[in-house]
Amino acid sequence: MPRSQSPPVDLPTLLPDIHPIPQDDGPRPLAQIAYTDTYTEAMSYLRALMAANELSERTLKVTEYIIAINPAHYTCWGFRLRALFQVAKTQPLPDAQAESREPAVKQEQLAVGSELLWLKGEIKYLDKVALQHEKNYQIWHHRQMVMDRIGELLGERGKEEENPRVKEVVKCEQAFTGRMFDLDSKNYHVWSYRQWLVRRFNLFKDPAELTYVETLLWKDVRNNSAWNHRFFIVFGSATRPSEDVITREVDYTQSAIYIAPQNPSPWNYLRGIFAQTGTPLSTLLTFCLTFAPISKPPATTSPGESPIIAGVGEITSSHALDLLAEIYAEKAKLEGRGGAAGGEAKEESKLQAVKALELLAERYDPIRANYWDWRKREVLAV
Amino acid sequence: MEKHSLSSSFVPSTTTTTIPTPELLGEPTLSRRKHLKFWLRSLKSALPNGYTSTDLSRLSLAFFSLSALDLLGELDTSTTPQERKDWIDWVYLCQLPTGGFRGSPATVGATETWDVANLPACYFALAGLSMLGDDLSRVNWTGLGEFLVSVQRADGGFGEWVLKGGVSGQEGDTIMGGEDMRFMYCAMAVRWIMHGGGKDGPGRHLEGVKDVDVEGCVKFIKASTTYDSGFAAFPFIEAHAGHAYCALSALSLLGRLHDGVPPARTPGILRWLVSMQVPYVPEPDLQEPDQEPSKTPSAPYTVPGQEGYLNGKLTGGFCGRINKHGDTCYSFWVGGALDVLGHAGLMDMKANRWFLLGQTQHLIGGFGKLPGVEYRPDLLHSYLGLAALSIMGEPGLKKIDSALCISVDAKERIMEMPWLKKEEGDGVERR
Ligand SMILES: [Zn+2]
Repeated sequence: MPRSQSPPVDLPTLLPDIHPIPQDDGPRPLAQIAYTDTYTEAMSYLRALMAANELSERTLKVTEYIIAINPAHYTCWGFRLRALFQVAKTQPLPDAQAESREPAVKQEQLAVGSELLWLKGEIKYLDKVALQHEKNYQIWHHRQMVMDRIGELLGERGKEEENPRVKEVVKCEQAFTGRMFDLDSKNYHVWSYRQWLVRRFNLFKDPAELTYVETLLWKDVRNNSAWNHRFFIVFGSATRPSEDVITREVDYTQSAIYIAPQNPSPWNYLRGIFAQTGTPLSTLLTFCLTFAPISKPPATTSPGESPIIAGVGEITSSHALDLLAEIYAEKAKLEGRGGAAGGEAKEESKLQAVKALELLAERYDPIRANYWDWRKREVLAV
Repeated sequence: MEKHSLSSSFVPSTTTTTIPTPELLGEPTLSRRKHLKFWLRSLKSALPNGYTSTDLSRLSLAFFSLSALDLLGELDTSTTPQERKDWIDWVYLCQLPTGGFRGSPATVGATETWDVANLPACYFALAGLSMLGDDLSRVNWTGLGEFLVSVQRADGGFGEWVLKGGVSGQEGDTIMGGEDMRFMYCAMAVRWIMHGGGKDGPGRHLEGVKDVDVEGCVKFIKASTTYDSGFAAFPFIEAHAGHAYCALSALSLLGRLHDGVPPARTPGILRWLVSMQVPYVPEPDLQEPDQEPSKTPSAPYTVPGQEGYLNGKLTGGFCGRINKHGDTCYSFWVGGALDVLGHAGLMDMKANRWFLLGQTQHLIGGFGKLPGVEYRPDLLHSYLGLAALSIMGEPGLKKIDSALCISVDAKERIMEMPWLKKEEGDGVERR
């Protein structure tokens, strides 16, 4: 439900010279909505302002009014953006002198200072709207375009790391997105914006990003969005991570698995690192067996229990079983290429893979039994 | 990291709720009559004011209503020819003189900069029109083709609309809207209706209509594959079932599925998709170290507290991202993606069906997002609930074409359009 938190604006008083354009919905509309009178009136004024292409402070007021009722009005956001940039360039603000921070104030710097003040004011406004409409994404697209302009005004592109004023602004953005993540640490739009921020201001090396990810994972090791951001920070830049970084990542991920072996996120992350670095999964065999000791000799068999289940030690992770099955299937393929000598080893590896997959289908992950059966057929076809 | 940090949703509360399982209650059924009433109401009377935030995408709401009635096999029987004719006119009211469709008449009169075509609306308009029996003869194809080309970015992805003159009004046009696989999907669906997909390329059927950069599309989709073998809205963001559906369907509509998903990658993508299904009975022996051991699967089905239930644990449905909650729409996004890959059979259909019919199907018809009467049905979830059931062959529903998200009937109607109609022995490969 959109909350009507429009600022009290009396449109006929604000826009006495504008003739509202009513909506023509035809004789028999589809998906008609029971608009409130407030919305109907505001939309009529918006259409008229757009038709006049008025890029003014009045437009900022009216668009704010509409957005409070319908934050998904995308051309309203576009109209606001154009009006904002125009107003910011042409309407000097008295505080601009302070903002420019130069002792000898030149006319040019004053103009930049004034524009920055307008844009920073917009960011403040966007903070408020984002907190009110958590699920909306237009807000973040708009914020991106405003921040991009702020970045341009503050200094040369590509030299952000050395620019203290850029750093300050970036810090505020990191803090505000953090505030949004306090409300929902998996908000897709906010994560998209955060990635944009990292790319735009080259924050791949900023320790604050990784520290923040670790704070989130400390709170909830199952936060897959945080894991994904970690992957982006480590592997998403143009520079390849060093051996040390790779080792650090593997260690971190494995310790997360020890804490919660049934959490899929770090298992996926581990696969991701291995794929990125071209490391064969088979090097994870011992690690997997810790959580799924499928080769252990049978303990006691309770009556009625399937023999396949009776023959293994304590399984603490279905993801370890899954990975084991893949490792053994891969092994069988390689052994198959080894000629007659590899034949026996190949059959043994296939047997292990099938065993892991049957454990998954029958007991440890039966909701995905069809998938595990499919994998089993693939293995048997080797 | 500490043990206590393992997600609060796993901590049992003191109260317990017994949740009825399919084993306990028997097979739930589709309340056809209630769904029909729900959809006729949404089509023929005004939607509540809570839908105001979808005012600019009313064509999507129209699409859900029309296609839901089509799936129920009631579109032609429960509406009059006059109504259908008027609705066709309304959809054309949303077409811009320069081509392309707005999401609703809400911006008509705002001049050409602010009254513009919207990419998803274009798909919903074409699909809706054909369901209503229109021959698409009033569509401005040349303009629509130009719009598609203009809304594609250099990286191959698509935006939502185009701001003429850029932000200042004095530069080149700016493509607006975030990077988003949903826009890619809508563009490919529109393109399919224009060209029939496949390899026959532009202009073969609609003379003089421009085509998008197809290689760019494929490149963008491939680049959006994630490290965990899912697909995301754009490269490097988190894998998401909705975007996975859009990515796979887009590839399929382009006739490039095997290029985007080579055999070596298939098991990984299938793993990611099936991993979205939430178990509906507690899994044995896989509790976290600080957990009480659970009951065995055959024991009477109780889970700790209502919270645990609604946190998406133990519903049998699908979630959209790793470690998230089950939600009605993901039964379609995941089911549809699997179906596009030819693997719908990998779902646990019994559990999924139970989730939809036994838990989110609403008393007043339609589907809520989550189980519980307090989650009132909305059009998106109500449509996708039906669509998800149709993938599984639910009796009483038409069969759906997963990639286009419309009934096979509706798809065939489109394929009868003169520019798509297969001529004897023309040898053109179509999806
Ligand atoms: Zn949903």
